[in-house]
Amino acid sequence: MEWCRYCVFILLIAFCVPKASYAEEAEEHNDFNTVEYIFEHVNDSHEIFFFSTSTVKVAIPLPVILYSPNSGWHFFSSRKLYSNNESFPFFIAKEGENKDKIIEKLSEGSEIVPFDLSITKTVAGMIVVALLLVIVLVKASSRARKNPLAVPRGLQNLVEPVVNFIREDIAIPFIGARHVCYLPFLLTMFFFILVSNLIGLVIPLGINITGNIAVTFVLAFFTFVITSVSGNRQYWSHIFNPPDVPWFMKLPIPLIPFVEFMGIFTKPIILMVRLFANMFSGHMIVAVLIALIFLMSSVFNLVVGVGTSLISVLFSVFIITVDILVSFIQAYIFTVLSAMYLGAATSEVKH
Amino acid sequence: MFLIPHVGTIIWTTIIFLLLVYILGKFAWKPLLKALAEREQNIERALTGAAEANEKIKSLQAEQEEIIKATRLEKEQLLKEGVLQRNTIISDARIKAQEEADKIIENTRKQLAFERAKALEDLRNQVAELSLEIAGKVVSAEMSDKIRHEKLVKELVDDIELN
Repeated sequence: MEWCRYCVFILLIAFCVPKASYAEEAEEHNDFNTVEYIFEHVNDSHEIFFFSTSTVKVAIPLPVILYSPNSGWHFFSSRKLYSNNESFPFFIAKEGENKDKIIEKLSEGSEIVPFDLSITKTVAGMIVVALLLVIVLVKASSRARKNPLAVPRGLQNLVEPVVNFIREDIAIPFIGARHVCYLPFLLTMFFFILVSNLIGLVIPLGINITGNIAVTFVLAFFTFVITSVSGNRQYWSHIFNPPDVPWFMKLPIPLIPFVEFMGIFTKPIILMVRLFANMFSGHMIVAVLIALIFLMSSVFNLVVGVGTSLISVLFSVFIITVDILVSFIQAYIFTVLSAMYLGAATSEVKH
Repeated sequence: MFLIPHVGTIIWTTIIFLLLVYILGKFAWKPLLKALAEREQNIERALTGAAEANEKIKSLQAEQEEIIKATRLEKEQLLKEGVLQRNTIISDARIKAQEEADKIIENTRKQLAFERAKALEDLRNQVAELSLEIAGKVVSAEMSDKIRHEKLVKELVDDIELN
């Protein structure tokens, strides 16, 4: 258990180190732009940025993949993107309507936006999460694969209760007998969201996976597609001809059917927004708390900034602790609601 | 803007998530869920088996108790019968022995009486013979003194009669 304590210690240091490095950053730029700073740390980017001084920038460059209708496919390291090389045709727009997008300068001087299929910070984070999940879960199930009746041990003991929880307390009560075919989807969803949420909390990396609306959009879209595809006759008839509703609500103007039909789309949109907003706001609060240090030191002086940092760090630790809880809750809620929608789409019970 | 989903990220997420569902579904969830279901069935089977065994044990115990009770009853009855039998045997034997003894005594008494009577008769005969002999001798020896002899004879005979 000694290593456990070391892990906690290292984690605590991890929470503290970037704050110190940001302080150095603030000294460089006296005209501190708070909003830009906050969004820089919450939004996606083409590199995993740690810290920078006037001479050194510590960041992991990520591969950039572009398709330009003008010059075809491009594949290069994001180091080139940030190098401010005038001869290089690609750069990131600092302002304007295409802000933060990759722009291609054409030879005649005009600019176009190529199709960006880069491995961004979020995508890299997802790949790490996926690899982690595959390695850990396949290892956890290796014993079960060899001998299903063996007493669970090690990783299997960690994973199995969660799997059983999702099966017994989410899939079976909400979906019923048909839960078997949706269970892999729900389990993958839960573990993917949970691990993504938790990876996002490792501050020095600052990978905001589930706080990216594209990711939650895809997850909610899968729920939407699976719900719609597996929806039975009863599900659709409840939407277009809801029972126990007076006829004048349906007949000349199909008011209730319209509301029900909108419900098909609002449900997954709510799923998407809830997860996104929770994780995004968690990251944002921490970014704001850290930005407060630089704001204070640029508005007043360094001593005030250092004083603020004490309070900010304490609050950040508190917020991150809450975010750990939120990570579990959001993963659970997303899975439960998906299961509920699937259950509603496949149920045969009259109600 | 952070509220507009980025198309590249959508494509990557879709690819990664679909791959993840496929790989985990095949290599992680399938064996884990199978193991869970199998273990569940196994536990259920074991539990019902235990309950059945318990029931069996209970019924066996009841049976055993009944057997013990029956045996005890039988033993008591046997003991009682034995005591009864012993008593009857003893009393029978006693009665028989008494009868036998009585018979023997009776027989002995009869024989004794018979022997006595016989002995008396023998004695009487002998006395008579002896007295005849004596009388003969006296007669032959003392024919001279007739009167005295007669007296003597008379006395002798009287004696015998007295006896």
